[in-house]
Amino acid sequence: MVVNKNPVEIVAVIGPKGGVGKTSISANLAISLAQLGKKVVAIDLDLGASNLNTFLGIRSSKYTLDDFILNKVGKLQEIVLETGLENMGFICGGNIPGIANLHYSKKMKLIRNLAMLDYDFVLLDLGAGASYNVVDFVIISQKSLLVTTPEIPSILNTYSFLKTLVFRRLTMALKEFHNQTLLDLLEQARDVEKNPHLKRMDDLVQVIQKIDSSASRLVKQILLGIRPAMILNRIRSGKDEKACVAIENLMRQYLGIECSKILHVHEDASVGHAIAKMKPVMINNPGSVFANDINEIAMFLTG
Amino acid sequence: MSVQVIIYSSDRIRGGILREILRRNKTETLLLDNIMDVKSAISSHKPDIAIFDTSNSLKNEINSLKHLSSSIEECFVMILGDALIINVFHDGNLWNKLFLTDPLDPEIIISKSREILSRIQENRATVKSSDHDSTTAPVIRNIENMEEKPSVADEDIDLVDHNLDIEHLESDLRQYLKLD
Ligand SMILES: Nc1ncnc2c1ncn2[C@@H]1O[C@H](COP(=O)(O)OP(=O)(O)OP(=O)(O)O)[C@@H](O)[C@H]1O
Ligand SMILES: [Mg+2]
Repeated sequence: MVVNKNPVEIVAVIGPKGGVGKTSISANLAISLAQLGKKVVAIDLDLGASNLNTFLGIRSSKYTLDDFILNKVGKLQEIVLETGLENMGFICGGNIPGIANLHYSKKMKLIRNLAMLDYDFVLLDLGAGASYNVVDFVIISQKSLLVTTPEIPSILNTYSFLKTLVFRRLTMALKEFHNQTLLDLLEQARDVEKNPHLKRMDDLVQVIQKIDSSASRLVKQILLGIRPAMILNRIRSGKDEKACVAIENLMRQYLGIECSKILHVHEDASVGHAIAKMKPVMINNPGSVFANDINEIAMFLTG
Repeated sequence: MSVQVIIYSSDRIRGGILREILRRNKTETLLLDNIMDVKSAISSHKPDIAIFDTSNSLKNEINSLKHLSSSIEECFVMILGDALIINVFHDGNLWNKLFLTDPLDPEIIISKSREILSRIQENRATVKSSDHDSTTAPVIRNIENMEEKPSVADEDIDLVDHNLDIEHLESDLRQYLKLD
């Protein structure tokens, strides 16, 4: 009999804009957690564009997610590869194109299997984009880390992603009420240009309350539960650090959600050096600023 | 004021950001999202700089941009994008080209544009004072030579400080997200 296994903590690493550093951060964060004595598996869910193995310095892979998705193996656990690092496993992304196209039944099978993995932490490198499939992996995760850089395009993408996440989560919940008016209202609120009277989350909640007060209570509860941590990557100056304040203000007012934490990762040449050597930064240059920032994130996750 | 900079970007948001930061720095710009219009806009407006933002461009668009950029001799061409894509532009005529790799850095783009514009201005002034025929002296010098020289114009203007200021950033975000 299995005794008292701690539930696995699924951590989604997302960055709706491409190239913001999701993979650099997930690879090294997994190592940092393992170095703290946690049992970790890093999973490359950037389907069709997977490269987490490169950042971990793993050149060949016996199994990939394709084997699981195409039913060649029964359990996700069977395709976990060794990394040569203590406490740490890895699942290589396959060649099946695009997580956005992953069929519903495959997605659900994957989600069920993630929860069954016997690790302290399951780290998902989710790739760019804001498709519903990406959003759903975030919804099932216990923690989500949103990676952004201080540039406006990246911040805008992050905001849009959060908006998609909030409205998908609310739609899921309000469907249970079997009241089309509520669902129509959500649909209208998404379009701030056409419906400026619903653009603030408070305004929306008030209108919902007039229709069904238990629905508005549920909405408030759900919003309280959406608390992503934000990782501001590639910081070069004190000014850059402030970029998150702007997005936090918008999140609070228009989406009704708060960040659980803002974490900083600085611009560091050791990231490029490590890639050139095909080694993770945590191994190649453990004393670097980047490694230090990653260790801080690991400490945040282990509480 | 005549158009000093023509911006091509197929990405509406990035194009809008570029135009806005240049506008704030008192630079008259024209934003285009169709490559076909760029060539004719360059001949009619005679800008000093053409900025090609390659992000989100499709393969055939990149090819057209590459073609176009190698045919342009009348102004500077600043090409922005991913290092891999920028490589594509690296052959042929480089004397009036400047390559900036992502991430989009308004501070660098503005300081480079100002450098180019102030040099062109300087050059025009000298051409005028020595009463040269304007066609003889090449207005544009090799961009590589400009790298180390600090630009005079940079110092007296607060470049994009306010752009990174939280309130400005927030109001920019509101504007782009149509939350105003
Ligand atoms: N803190 C940093 N300092 C310096 N370079 C960095 C930093 N973070 C990321 N980079 C660089 O940015 C590039 C993109 O990083 P990475 O591949 O991790 O991003 P990504 O978000 O996973 O991209 P994609 O969306 O393509 O999956 C890499 O070349 C990496 O070296
Ligand atoms: Mg990646």
